Amino acid sequence: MGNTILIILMLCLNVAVYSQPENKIYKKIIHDYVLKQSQPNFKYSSTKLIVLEDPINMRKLNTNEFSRFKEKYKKLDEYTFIDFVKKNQVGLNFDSSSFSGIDIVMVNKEQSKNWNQLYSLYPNWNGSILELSNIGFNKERDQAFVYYGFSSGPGVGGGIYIVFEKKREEWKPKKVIPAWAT
Amino acid sequence: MYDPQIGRFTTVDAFAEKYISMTPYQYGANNPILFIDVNGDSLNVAQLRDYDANANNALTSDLQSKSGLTLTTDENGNVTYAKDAKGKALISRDENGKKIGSRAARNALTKIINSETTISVGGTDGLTGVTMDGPNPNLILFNPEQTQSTMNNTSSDLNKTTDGYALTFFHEVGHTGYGGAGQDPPFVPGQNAYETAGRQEILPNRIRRQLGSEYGQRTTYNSYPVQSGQQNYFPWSQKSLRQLKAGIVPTQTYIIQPWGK
Repeated sequence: MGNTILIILMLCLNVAVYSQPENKIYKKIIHDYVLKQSQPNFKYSSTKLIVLEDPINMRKLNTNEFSRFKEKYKKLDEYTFIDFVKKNQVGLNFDSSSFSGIDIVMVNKEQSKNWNQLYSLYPNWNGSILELSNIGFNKERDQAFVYYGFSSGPGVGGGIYIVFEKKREEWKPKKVIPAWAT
Repeated sequence: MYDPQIGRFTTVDAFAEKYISMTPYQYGANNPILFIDVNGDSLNVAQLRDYDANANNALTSDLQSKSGLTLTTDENGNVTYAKDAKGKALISRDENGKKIGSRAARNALTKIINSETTISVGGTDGLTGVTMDGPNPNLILFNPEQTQSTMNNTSSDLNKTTDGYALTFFHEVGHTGYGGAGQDPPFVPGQNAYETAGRQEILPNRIRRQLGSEYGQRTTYNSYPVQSGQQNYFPWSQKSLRQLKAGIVPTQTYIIQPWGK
């Protein structure tokens, strides 16, 4: 009886984690921008991903930059942007264990520089180091602002901000704003 | 305006203040062939010159070689090109009288220098690229070590500068605000970076075609890992792309991605 209750509690906790908007948005990014960019005819496991503990190529934005971003997306809520800036004053809050079926390895800045070591440690890796930011939301929590970037070694990489909006319980990317390119 | 009857220019040079030792009417020091008029400040390399003078010289030299233009950088870092008496760009010729460089490179570079937007070039120890969300979306940052490593890792059948300073410059221009803030394939819906080089390589590949077969063609944006990930290769032809897709080390026309440390 006790075991059954424990299992039910764990299942509930799992459902709660998965239903968090942060996880839904991160999953959408991984599906739309990472897994769709898989290499043809290759043997690696596209479900093994490496994520930086902190997005080193993302500029630290300032709240007074809102107007420039608003110019790029008129519907961007100032609250969303400010929430994003505030939440990214601290390190990435990303639960890599909550993605079933995707093996996510977190690395720090120093580890990310040693490509040879990463290839030898993770031979089934897709060859890209991913960057994610904390996600900013508006008051109604139906608009989100997040940064995604990747690097596959010198000469290959880039970063974008994505504005997501929630419609009928589903988060959809509404606007992509380029952050950097190489 | 240059008056051939009197051998003088009859209108004030807009940048006459840069030549304080001359009268405002001495366009190009009254010698339109040997001297270069300041057309504007639309390409500025001051930041790169201050960061790494050798890298800046390499960029200028490579841009001259690829375009056939004669470039001059003033003390403020503004780059201009030599013109003839009619204001047309002077183009260097080889010993057979044939114009050197690529017409596409020449057109793109003169357009940049004559534009109203200022493209600035600087240096970085990070990735070569453009910060598109920053206060200056027209600033290109070069990592000289990255460019040098790329040239060193270019297969022997290709010209070492096929992804050197000039061709990289033209790629990066596509990322600037001036160039339309273009995105590379990983961020373009429907494009796979292992299948296409993307919009930013349209101009560089055209320039390569005009320069000759030893420049190859960049065929993908991403590099391919082979040999259990010991090396990553950029295919620089359809043949090397086919080999890489089959997991084979390409025999020629490739660039090994310089991982660095």
